[in-house]
Amino acid sequence: MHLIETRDLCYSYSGSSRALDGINFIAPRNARIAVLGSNGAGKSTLFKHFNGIFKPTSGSILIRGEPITKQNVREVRKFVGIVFQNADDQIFAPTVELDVAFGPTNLGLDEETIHHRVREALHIMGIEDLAGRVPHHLSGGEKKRVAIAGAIAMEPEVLVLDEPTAGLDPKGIHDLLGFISDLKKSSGMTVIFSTHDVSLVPEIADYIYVMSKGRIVAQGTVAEVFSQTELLKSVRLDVPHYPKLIKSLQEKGIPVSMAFTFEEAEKAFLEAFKGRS
Amino acid sequence: MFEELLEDIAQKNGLREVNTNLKLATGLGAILLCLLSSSYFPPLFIALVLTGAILFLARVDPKTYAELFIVPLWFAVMSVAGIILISGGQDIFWKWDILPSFSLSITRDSINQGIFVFCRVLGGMSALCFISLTTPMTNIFTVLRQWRIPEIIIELMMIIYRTIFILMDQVVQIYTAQVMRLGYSTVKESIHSCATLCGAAFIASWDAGEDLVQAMDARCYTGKFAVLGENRPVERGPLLALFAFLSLSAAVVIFSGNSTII
Ligand SMILES: Nc1ncnc2c1ncn2[C@@H]1O[C@H](COP(=O)(O)OP(=O)(O)OP(=O)(O)O)[C@@H](O)[C@H]1O
Ligand SMILES: [Mg+2]
Repeated sequence: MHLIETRDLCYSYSGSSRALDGINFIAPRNARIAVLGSNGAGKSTLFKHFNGIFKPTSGSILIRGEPITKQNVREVRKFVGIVFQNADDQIFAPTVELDVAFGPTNLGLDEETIHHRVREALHIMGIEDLAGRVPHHLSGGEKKRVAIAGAIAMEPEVLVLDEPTAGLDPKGIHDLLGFISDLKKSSGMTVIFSTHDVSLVPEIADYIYVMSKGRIVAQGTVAEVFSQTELLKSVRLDVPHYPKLIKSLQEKGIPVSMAFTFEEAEKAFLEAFKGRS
Repeated sequence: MFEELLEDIAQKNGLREVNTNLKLATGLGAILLCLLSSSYFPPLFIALVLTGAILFLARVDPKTYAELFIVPLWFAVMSVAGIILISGGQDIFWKWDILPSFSLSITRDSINQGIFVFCRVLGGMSALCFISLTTPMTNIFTVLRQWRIPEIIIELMMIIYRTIFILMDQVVQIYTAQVMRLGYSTVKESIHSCATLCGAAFIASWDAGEDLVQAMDARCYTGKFAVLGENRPVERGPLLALFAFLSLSAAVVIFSGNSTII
């Protein structure tokens, strides 16, 4: 049984053409799943199906093997926490602290637990000092962090992040990536995220879906997906720098083994240099 | 923008740490006394005291305070002029019969009435300014919950509060975008841009409302808003000050009776 599974999921916005077309998506336990796709590929639309905000026009979505119904939608939302792309729409309480506390309060937790979770979430996102601020004075990246903290505070088992790194500064991105990879060790939380920034993907993802025009056009591990340079180009995406560079070096006859992350690349180059000297 | 300014000042004013109940009692008590008084003097007195408190205790910048006051003051001056001219009375100083059945006049009574209304406006305005400049909205929410105001009302207030800023942001953004592309360069262009702005703001707020519902649902909304922050304890100094202010004002109300200015 998969945590999230969609079968031939199709969705059309009222009065317009298909936004999603026959999506088969699977999220197993304790996975880091990246969804890549150009603008308008349907990533955000797909994510809104994961907690029952959108209902499939045809096809089905199963959460822990069960379809989403009126009876279990609350359980589903407790189980799947989503941070939408636009942080502005998601911060609705008068202060940052109250906003982060919103989810836990509605879960019916006691005051002490709420307080603890809020502190924890603010700490993880590195925004303790924003606690008392009013949301309309925050910068874009700060709002993004608050929105993510709001989802983390609910401690969902699946965390869905739509463009989590857009608008964050390098340190913010680094911290967020650190948090996501820590999750794997500390709790069994599954993370699904979308991005255009392919260079981040190898560092955290262990499975990738590539979407284009409402369809899934490729899927697989980092190595599998990023070896399909032509396909990625045809859907307006790019290959990360390291594999691109290494591939071009290989084509020029330099023996470097393929690598995707910074660490792998470092190792590969060191070995290649050692071989020469 | 104006509204942001108000909240900003409230967030860092000198009286922020004072118990919210006390501050609300000051403002509401002052308004009540202004309404009870039948003389022009007590509202004036209250206005002076509260303005002093706003400027020296809350340390609000006098210039911002004056700016805040000027718009309603302008309205007050206009309506007071109307009152003075239209209402009649004894001891006519000046009279002009425009129509057989209608005349404008300045009388002792109408001047007294006008000044009385004007002072009331001043008193009421300063009381409202006192509340809005010293008490951040979020503290008011906390207090409302303590007062056992129904959840639904507090919740609506919170959502409205936040939505006002979202809407304002939208309007400011669209406006800036238009100005940058010379949307207001000619009269015709201005009318067109303004109409577009209104339409776009309407659609944007509609969308924002939908997104808000989605975001709230996504976080398991069941009709509860967190209200964490606790109120500050009631301290002796502020309590005494409140007591002194209210009793002094009440005394002024009683002793000034219905004395008039002329
Ligand atoms: N509210 C809507 N009404 C009608 N069509 C919509 C709506 N929202 C999105 N679409 C359309 O659905 C398609 C998929 O949009 P979606 O927002 O899912 O893309 P995305 O992959 O998230 O893109 P981005 O990377 O820009 O966020 C797009 O063609 C878009 O124009
Ligand atoms: Mg999107």
